[in-house]
Amino acid sequence: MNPDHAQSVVARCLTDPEFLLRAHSRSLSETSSEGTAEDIAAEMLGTSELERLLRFRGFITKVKHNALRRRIPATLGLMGGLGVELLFFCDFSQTYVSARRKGPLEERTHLDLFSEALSGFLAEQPEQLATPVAETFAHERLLFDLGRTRPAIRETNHMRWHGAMSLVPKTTDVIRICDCLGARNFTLLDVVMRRHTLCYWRPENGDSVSIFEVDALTAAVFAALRAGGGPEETRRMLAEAHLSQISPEELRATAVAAARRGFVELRGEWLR
Amino acid sequence: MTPARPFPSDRTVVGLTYSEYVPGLVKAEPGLVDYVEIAFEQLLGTPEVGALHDEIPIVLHCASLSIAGNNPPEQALVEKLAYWIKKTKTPWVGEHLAYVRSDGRYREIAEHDAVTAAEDRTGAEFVVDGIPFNVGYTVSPQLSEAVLNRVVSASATWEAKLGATVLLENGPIYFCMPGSTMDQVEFLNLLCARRSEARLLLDLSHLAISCSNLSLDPFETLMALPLDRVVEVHLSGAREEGGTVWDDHTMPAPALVFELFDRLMSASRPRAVTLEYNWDATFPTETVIRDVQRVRRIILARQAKATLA
Repeated sequence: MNPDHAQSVVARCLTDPEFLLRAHSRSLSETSSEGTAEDIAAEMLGTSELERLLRFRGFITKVKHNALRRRIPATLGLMGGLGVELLFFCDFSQTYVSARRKGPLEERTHLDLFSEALSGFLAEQPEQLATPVAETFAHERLLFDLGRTRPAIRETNHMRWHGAMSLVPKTTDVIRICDCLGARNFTLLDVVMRRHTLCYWRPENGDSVSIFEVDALTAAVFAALRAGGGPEETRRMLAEAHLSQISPEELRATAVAAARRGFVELRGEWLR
Repeated sequence: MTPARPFPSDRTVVGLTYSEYVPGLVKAEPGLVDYVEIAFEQLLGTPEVGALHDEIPIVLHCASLSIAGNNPPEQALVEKLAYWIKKTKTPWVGEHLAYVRSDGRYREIAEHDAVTAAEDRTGAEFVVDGIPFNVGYTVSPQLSEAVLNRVVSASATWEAKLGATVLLENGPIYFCMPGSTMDQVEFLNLLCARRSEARLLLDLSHLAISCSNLSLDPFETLMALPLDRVVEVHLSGAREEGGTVWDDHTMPAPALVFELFDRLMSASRPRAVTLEYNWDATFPTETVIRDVQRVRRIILARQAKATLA
């Protein structure tokens, strides 16, 4: 067989994911060949080689995401560890190739495109796989967004926040996943389901984002404090959230601790 | 900044493929590696990376010649490659025994101009020169007499044009190219038999991947290759998914690849060994250091045995 013919057919399949899918579909069809390009590819390669090419196309798309890996290393690493990375990129190939026809993708646009495709992909996956991947991606995406957006500073008569704080409930230990993948010693046992809340802090005078775990009560108090009210108003908010067990002294102690850590400057009634 | 040392020729040296973390590691760990391998395509997008040459010898790698294909790169691209060969004083250029482009000469398959991704025309990720099918990734070619003749001729032509030795790198086999009449081992042996100047870049991870995907014994396959022609060795990670093993430069090389390297060093003395840990800018440097030291220990042990023998 002429090598240029064979290599041309394979190149067409690899540059045009829609064509590859149609050729694969033709290879499964029982209707006779009509001599189309898809028929030629189907006859030349057969179903099993076309399936290998589909995976190879996914692999190429994956490699094209190496630049994005610096933003979402754990998401991609976890998908690889769970054995669904190529499956995802096979699905994503068509959308990605179409988007790239217009030119190189800006990083945020690329992340948005990836995010949308990932949501669709995870919707079809079992929960024990979808949840860790979704939460790990949300974690890395938030780090990216916080790191690139100047914090909007909340300032009221009662307090002034010194940065942006996000409180995110998690059901998977994403920090453990990130650490194990980062050290290249990840195993499936590192996917641990555990309810907790992560607090992300981006100070107004810095680019780095700190992450720490807080208990549910502290998370609720921080959330109430972020509203910027005085002690009474904050207690009322907590009571509305069914957290009236927090005494005024406990609330004030938490607010003072937040101020000592540099998150917030207390004013007005908080100082009385 | 001190000028780079000349590329060592008296021993097997160890290098790293360029990634964002590499310049920092080279600075922080002087003497850890002897050279840095840089993809020519990287230099097209970010030429400032070439400044590393002031600090450490550079080896150029390339994925643009499409040496097994029917579409050579455009002259402008060749001129840029020649520029970087001269500028970096690379001791050779490593190129994939593969094709990247196809001219789509079979029009019944090739009504495709509208579907070639823009990435392949912009140079952002791979070089683009307006040729119809640009896969944007190296593809193992048809292993046949016709392609063998093409590669023999093309490698001689490129060496003459570029004024540099072009090492040919074995690719990983992920699917069977229609019309192949021989395996990669036979192809490489015939290539070296027909062209006495042919030199190889042996990617041991690609070899292990191909052997796994084709159910071959990797050690037998290794020993059947023309090992006396191997000038440079690549080591990287691999990952299994969907019943196939895939190249993965985000992972350290597995134990099998180090065992293959040890076996190779018992039979041959390549000039350079490159760890390709370059797909993830956050690759843990302690793992890189550990594996560089592991490679050096293997080299030293094999050289000591050879000296005793």
